[in-house]
Amino acid sequence: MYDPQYQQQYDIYGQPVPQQGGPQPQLFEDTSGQAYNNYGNQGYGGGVDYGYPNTRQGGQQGQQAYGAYPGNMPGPQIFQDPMVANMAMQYGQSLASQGREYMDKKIEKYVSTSQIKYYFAVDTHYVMKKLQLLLFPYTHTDWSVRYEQDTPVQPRHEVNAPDLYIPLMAVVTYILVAGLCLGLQKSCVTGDCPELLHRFSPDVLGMQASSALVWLVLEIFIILATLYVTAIQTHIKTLDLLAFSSYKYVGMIVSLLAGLVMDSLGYYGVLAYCSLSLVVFMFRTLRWQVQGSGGTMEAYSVGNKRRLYLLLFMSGLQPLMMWWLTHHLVA
Amino acid sequence: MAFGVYSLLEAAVLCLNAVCVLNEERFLSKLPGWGGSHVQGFGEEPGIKTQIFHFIRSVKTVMKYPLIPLNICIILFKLIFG
Repeated sequence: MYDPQYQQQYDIYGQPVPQQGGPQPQLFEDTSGQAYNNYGNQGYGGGVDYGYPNTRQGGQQGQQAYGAYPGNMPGPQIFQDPMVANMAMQYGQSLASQGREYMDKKIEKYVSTSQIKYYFAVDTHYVMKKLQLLLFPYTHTDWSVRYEQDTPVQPRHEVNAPDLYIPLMAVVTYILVAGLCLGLQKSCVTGDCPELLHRFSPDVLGMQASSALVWLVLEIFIILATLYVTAIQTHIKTLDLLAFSSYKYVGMIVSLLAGLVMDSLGYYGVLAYCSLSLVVFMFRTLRWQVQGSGGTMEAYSVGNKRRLYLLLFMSGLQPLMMWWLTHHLVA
Repeated sequence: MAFGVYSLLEAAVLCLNAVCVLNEERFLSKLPGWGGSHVQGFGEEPGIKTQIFHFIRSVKTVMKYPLIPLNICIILFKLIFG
């Protein structure tokens, strides 16, 4: 519609289309009280007055149709109106995406989320294959990691790449299994036992969790310090180290479960087997990661000797940690 | 062995204290190889001793002043909460 007298165009709702030089409609400016004075529950016959001054002649059609709410808030029926609901939803969505962008920007400074996403790009096939490798690495022949443009291929396409999904699940499962073990044990706290007490209580879970975390941090710190002091050039990143250090929790879980079934014999037997498997796995995987290039090692240059020692140290640390973290759970 | 996160923090502060109290004049200068900044080869891997000395020197430089309020916090914490 075009109102020739006042040089004002209206869209199909009767809402004045903004002209050049005229005040732009402020869609979300001040919606409390006054702006909805003339809005009723009668639909959009004359348009919604969002903040135009009431004396504006373009809104005259609207004013006449909405005498139902003089000076009051419109009430909750306003959201049944499809246009308002639409706009409210869009506003909410834009707010949400803005909030999310803000949070991402803030977090990116401390923990690079894009890098972490790489470690969680796994699928079922990868997880099954990796678990099988952790427990039986003797028949796998090709341990190299394919690279694309300087970064390793995502774990779901490359079995030998490290990931953080299995370690995360393994740590949580370990805490739960530790709670299970403690709950199934009975111990005497005092000298003569009128009753056997369970060693489990809810705060023990928290203690186990923080303990596991602390030992993980300590181990990674020791390895990083060793890497620094011996000045070995590697491609290995800290998150990779975190992943490799946490693979032992899988073996620990299996050992603990075996220890539940058959007491000390099952535990130590399965622990010995899992330690051996993990050592072989770590050694073969890290040989490719620490080397930086091919997996061949000439024992002549100093750097390679240091790398070998570092590999042996890291691999040998794993069984020790596995035993240390679980022996108190199997009495 | 049960450790909490607080124990980790305490252990870290104690270790940093241990590195920072090494006296420059009385002890570190007497060590062979201490003033080793002129022995910087390039392309050669620095020896373990050089790396350790670098590490000690950088920890002393960086952590000397922040460690003071950190120690005060931990002392207060131990006084109040035992």
